[in-house]
Amino acid sequence: MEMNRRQMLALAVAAAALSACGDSRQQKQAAAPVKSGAQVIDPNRPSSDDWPFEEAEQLNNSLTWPKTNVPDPASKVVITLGFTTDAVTEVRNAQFDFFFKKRHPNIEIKRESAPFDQFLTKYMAQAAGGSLPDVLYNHYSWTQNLIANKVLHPLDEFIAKTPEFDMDDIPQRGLGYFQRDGALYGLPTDMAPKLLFYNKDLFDKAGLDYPDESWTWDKLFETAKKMTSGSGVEKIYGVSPMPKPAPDLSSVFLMPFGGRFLDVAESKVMIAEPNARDVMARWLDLLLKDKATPSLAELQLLEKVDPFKSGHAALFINGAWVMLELSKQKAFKWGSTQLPKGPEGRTSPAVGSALVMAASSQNKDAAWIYMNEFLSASGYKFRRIAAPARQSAWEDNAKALGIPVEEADLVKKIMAEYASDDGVLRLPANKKVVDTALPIWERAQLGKISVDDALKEMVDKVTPVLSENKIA
Amino acid sequence: MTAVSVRSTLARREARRFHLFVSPWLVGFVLFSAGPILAAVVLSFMEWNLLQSPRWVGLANYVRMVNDPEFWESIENTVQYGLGAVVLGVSFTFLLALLLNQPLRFQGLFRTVMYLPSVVSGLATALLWINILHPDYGLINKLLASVGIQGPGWLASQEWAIPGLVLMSVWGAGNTIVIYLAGLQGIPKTLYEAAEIDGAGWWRRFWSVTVPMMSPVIFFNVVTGFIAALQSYVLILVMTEGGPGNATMVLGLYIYRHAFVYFDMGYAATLSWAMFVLVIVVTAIQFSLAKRWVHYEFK
Amino acid sequence: MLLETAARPARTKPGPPLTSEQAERIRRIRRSGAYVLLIISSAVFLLPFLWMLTTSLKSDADNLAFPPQWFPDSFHFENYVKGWTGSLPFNTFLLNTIVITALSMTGNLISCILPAYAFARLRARAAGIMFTALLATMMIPREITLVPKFIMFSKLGWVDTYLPLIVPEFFGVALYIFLLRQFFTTIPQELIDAARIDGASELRILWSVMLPLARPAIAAICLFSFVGNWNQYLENTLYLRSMEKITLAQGLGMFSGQYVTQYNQMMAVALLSMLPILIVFFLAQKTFIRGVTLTGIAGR
Repeated sequence: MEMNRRQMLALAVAAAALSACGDSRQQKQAAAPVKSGAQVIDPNRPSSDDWPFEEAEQLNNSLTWPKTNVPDPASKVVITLGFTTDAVTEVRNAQFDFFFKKRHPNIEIKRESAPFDQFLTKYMAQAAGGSLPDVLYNHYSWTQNLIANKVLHPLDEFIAKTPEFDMDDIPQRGLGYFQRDGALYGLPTDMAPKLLFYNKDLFDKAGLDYPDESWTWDKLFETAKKMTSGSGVEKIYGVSPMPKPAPDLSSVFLMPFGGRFLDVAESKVMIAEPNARDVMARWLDLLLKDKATPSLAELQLLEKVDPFKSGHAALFINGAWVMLELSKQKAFKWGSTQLPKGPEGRTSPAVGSALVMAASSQNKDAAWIYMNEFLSASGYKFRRIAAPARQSAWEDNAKALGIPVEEADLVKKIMAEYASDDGVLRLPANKKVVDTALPIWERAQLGKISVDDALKEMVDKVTPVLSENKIA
Repeated sequence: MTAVSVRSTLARREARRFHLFVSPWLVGFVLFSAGPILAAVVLSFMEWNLLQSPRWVGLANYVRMVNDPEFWESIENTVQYGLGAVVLGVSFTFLLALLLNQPLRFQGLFRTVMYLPSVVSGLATALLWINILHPDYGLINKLLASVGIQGPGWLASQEWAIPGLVLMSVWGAGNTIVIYLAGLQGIPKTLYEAAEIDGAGWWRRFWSVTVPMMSPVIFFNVVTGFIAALQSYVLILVMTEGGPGNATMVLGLYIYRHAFVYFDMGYAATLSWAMFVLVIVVTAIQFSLAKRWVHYEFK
Repeated sequence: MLLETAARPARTKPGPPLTSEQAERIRRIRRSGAYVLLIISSAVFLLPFLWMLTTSLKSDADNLAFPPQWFPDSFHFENYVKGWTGSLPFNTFLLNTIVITALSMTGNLISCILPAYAFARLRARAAGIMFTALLATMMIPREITLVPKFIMFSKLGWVDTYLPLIVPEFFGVALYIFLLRQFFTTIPQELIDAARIDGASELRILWSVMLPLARPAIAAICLFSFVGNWNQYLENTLYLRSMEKITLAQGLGMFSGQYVTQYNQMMAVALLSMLPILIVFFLAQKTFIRGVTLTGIAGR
């Protein structure tokens, strides 16, 4: 008992001590409001293992930073940025801000970060509470909803005042997500097409030729069946992942055959029509009959980890952004090529995220000055991201990140020739459309309902949801 | 003074004290909860996407809910999950708590180990259980296979996904164990001694001393266990996102989606009140049953 | 206790009394049975911890293995250093978390005891309806009051401060009040009556009769409050905006990027941030030892 009382006492004392030091901290914060970056990542020398300060400084000095006719503020202003970053990129952004502030002493930066999964929840609530940041990250599937609700400020006037802001360097076909009624509300932070990746080791072992530009989807189905082997831990899948209701379903899988998930205006479900239906049926056969593509259970095993990444799939359909991860691994050799052709030609989505400016921003000029530099070719090169929307930054970044130059050239070629936003869902109901259709498709993947029943049910259930896409 | 008025003065004094003692909570309720709750009531009659001003729609959300098959499906899933999680959880953890209450060596260590699952990160738990329940590589099905049984598809099958989640919930019920352990300390040893003198075996002592003395605590665990189970969705969101084919779309997850994915706050509020009614009905049933089995020292 | 008493055979009356040797043997068998059960269940309950541990020691490449490996090919202890100090200021996050948790826990403790006592032991006409209201607040899904609450605190200018996370904690938590109330109801009425006859005030009774007996329950509340605030995620994400104010749970979330999750570093940091909880648990569970107080008094 004595012992217990001591323990309780220890707990109480610890709590009191903690609360005491908490109190003083609390007051300090109240006394000194908004001082950005106080204790985070050393504000005078942001640095990490991945991004040493010296490298950042050297790179920063070697780049030319763009000008704009938008004037710098005459007195100190604070702009708030709401980005989604992870542990690694957060430091790089801090370094960018550090050098930016040196160039613009009157612009103070308050940087916020939320994980991707929580981002929209957080900032929609902030919008309802009346305090959005000046500059905000945006996934391509969110922007139209924000535009429709008049939360964003168009950027055209600022672009006009910035002759150096080379719009031709950004793929025009990938801007549809951010445009409405002739105005542009977002500028991409990254943009990439989808590619066909392959595991060279597995192809060598099977004695088959690597996929190339001549491939058709028929050839892909045929090869996927041939490349499938083993079971359990030894299982090799021909191709991964199979199509499912997703924003880019049409663009990757259906449009080469003349089919679509929804029509262009996103007001009509077209997935049960013959061209789309046949594609979905073939994939379902590939799953259920040939077991050549991972099932629901296999894809569930590890979030964001596809069997291809562990050497258990021969072919992999994914965005160019996975090149970075693939380049870092040494377990197998890989290559990439364009997505296969269909009877109606070749298509690929061009998808990416953007920065937008809040209509409520009190410091739009300063916000633009920041966006201008962050989204310039120099900005892209400084951030060293794997899929820059500015095509002129691709080669530099690929070299710095260890991505083979021929892969970078391939991506640039696809972006220049045909990758586009056509067929990628973006109107306000897009998430609901996917969530409504997905469970139905999962039942088909489990073999519970036939492909025709599934597609018909999708039409019935998704159609009413589409009324939310009609924006006044 | 008459006896009656003395009693009523005493009663009044006791009532005054009650109000005084309850005031911390009551003030907090008025300051921080009443407003938002009221707002949630009003919201259920409105359409609101967080970005525009709310718009009055009358009963439209309620009409929509009654005609929403996914809503009814989610109620069914929620009740299945809740029943499974509580019945299995409350009884299994009670036995574990009895075991952990024995004066054995390494008692503190054993207790800490049993509490571990309640502390590890949600993501770790999710990844682990996706692995344990995996139809081909999972531990459970491997064990079943070693005795010649072909295990079910668990989270990858519509029929077994909820049982799989129930299994997981029992394993993470460290808080329930803690409450039981705390409760077990309150049973006077003398009661056991008295029962023993009466010749009661351990089985009878369990039923005539442990269970009645623990009944307020068991009751607490059942009531709050149901509330938690009926509202839970976080792990389900990470593990199955309601799939496959809506088999694990519980009401909590359905509300979360409408509130924080579609930002359809009006409908989310309506769904929330449906959940509130569901929880309150379940709790009311328990309180009425409690009169038969829960033993209070003070009534 | 159950086990000790159970060691004596149930039907003692008709048979001859056991020798102390026989009783000792049976007790020993029971005891080893208990150990076996405990060890088996411990193994099951240890799984998540082992999983985190091995994941935290894996190389980046092993993280991708399919099917996932339980044991890494090589051990990478540097994940701990990298995760904690490599890029994000986890020391700052730790300090922030300690501040929020300590204040909230203190608030919970001082604000739950009085209402719980009132609900358990004091009579008033409004008691029934208030208790119902208390329970009802637990039943309203928190998701739906989250946004109205957020707007309320925004209007107060409390966003990006710790106030919305701490201040409400000083006004009682329904769950803990309910829990404590249940424990207060199990305390024998004679003890209270005896104290009243001795002229003790209501507060005196609470302080010197009820609280010592409810010590395990209070330890449980401390524990729950600690864990709850330590791991709080949704509210923190909503209210805390500046990087220098965020907490451990939020920092952990930042290992999960849009495309890639660094599972090894995430688990390493998650394990480190779990340690304080385990220490608090270990302290709390020490109070879960049969109190001598109860058996010593009242002669029941």
